[in-house]
Amino acid sequence: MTRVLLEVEISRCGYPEGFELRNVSFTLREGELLVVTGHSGSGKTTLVRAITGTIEVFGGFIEGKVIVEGRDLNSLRPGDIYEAMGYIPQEPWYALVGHTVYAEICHALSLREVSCVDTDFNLLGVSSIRERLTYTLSAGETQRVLWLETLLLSPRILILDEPLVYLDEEARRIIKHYVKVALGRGMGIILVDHDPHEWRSLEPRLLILDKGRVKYHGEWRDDALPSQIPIKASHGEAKGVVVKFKNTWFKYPGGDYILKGFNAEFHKGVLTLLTGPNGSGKTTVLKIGAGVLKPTKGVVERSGSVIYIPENPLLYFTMPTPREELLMASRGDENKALDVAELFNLKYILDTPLAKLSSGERRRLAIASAYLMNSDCYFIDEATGGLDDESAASVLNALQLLVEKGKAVVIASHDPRIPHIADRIINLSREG
Amino acid sequence: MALTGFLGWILSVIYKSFFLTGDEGFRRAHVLAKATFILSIILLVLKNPAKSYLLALFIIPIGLIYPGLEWVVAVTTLTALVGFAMGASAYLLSLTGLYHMTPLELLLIMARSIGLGTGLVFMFIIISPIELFNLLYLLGLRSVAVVPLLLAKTTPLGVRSFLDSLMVGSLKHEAFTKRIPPAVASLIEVGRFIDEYCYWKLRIPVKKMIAINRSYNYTLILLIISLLLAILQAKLWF
Repeated sequence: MTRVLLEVEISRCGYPEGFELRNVSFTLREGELLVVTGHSGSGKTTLVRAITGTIEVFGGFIEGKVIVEGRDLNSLRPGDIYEAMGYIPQEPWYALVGHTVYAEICHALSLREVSCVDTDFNLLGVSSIRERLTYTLSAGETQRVLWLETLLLSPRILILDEPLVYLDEEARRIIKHYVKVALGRGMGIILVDHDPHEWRSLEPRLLILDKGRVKYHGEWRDDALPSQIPIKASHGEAKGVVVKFKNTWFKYPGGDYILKGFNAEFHKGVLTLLTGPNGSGKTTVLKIGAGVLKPTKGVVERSGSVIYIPENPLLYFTMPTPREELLMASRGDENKALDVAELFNLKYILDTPLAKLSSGERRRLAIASAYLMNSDCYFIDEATGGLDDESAASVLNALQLLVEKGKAVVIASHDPRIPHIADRIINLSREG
Repeated sequence: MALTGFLGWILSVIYKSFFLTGDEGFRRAHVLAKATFILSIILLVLKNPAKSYLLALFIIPIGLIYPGLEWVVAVTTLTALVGFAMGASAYLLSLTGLYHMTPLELLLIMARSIGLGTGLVFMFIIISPIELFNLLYLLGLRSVAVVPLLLAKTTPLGVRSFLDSLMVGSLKHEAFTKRIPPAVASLIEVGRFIDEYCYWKLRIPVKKMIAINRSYNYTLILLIISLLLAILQAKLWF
């Protein structure tokens, strides 16, 4: 019988006058994978905070107990928790402390009294980015750094929050392999994913959350999972060019050229998917197209209004609540704002402060606000990143409406749900 | 829109001047060479403040070696802006009639500001956050040793987020003043995310120093420049 690493018995946890998660109990054993899934706002992040012992730090509460290797989480010192538990969050770039990859890994090791002099940076190919600044890494590269740290520190419990969201196919395959390796080493893994099917081959247990309650906990059962929601693939009629890249070159300060002679045309009435490996320049194309970045060489012609929604939707907002944001975008037309709130399933959070929205809710709100702007061209980074099927369907269906209205929509994404609805796919390579 | 664009440009110049590179180039020079070099600069400025414009003549050529032309252009632009502001304010003061200022004096004020500014920025970029980490460790301040690493990461990250937020604001046709609160809010949110995701990492005292791979070439260049500055000072002195 394998050892129990984690016992969770939570009667209530959440935030005063806010979201609450109730009656969650489970154990995690060595070499066991527990996949936690559920709609946006179902309580996945709240559960992770409760397990990692950070919920109270951020104004929340917990009634119940979290037992880590036989000891109450509250009785553990920070060093004990760090030794027992590893955590790779959905936004991995915020989980790095060091300014360079080398400083990050060495600092992490120094907390465990390990010198990094003999550390093997070749693992996971990190040696090629050893001296890179961490704030210039792509999401996939950041994931690799955090995985190297995890493998070097070997915590007994590993918590992964949406580990595949920002990764290309190759990186997804590698991460799945390392999850398997970690399980083989006896780590217990809690993995939060809106798409649990990705992990089925590893025979995980399922914990399905819905509106702050446990909907199902047990062995894998297809019928327990929400049925996949079809996303209609309506194709618009291609009209005039709204943004045109002509022999565009770009390099970030201090870096090498990421785009080399890039040419493309984005047409009204067409949904274009930008895809390609991590670090191939997808976000850069969006930013240049929208005018957020200026090309180092070459020309970008625009014949209409453009809008850009960044990967972090918080950077998009102007107002403190969804209602005010939508009202501002609709120029004060309340009916229009409420219709769009309905379309994007936002009515239940209209007066919730942005800081209290889940990442999925923020993403839907940003796209809803941009939808109201009535621009000619929409550049959207990871439109459906981390969204469950229902939320992704509402976002993608709304984007198709834009296309039908003759707008150009350009999405950069690795989401496998998008290619079949795209009118056109541009595959970028790392060679620019 | 124009104000947003100008602020965005200034922020990108600051970013390139201070955060263009990691722990390479002169950051890998020996700490004693850096100390000697910094001491030479301080002595020149203290003993001959009127000649501080000479600093630019030394630093710009070695800045071309590392971090390179991109840094030189950025730092020259930044310090020229500061120099211009200093010169302009001195000129405006002279209009009050309190004292007389010749055009040459005006140019000298600007040149000194550029020299001094270039020196200060170069001193900043050659000090590795890892050296400060190790220094705090040696001083027994092991709970806060992580702070230099964290600042070296979060400051440029914040500048980038702020820039993105400003540019999104201009796409939304917002007034510059309307964009500042959400841009600041996004910075606070970034800080909150880092605090949450690195919660335990940031609360454990470090237990080992971080080794730095030193470079003889960069050490030698700094020592040669320090020697040249010393010779220059001796000439100015006598």
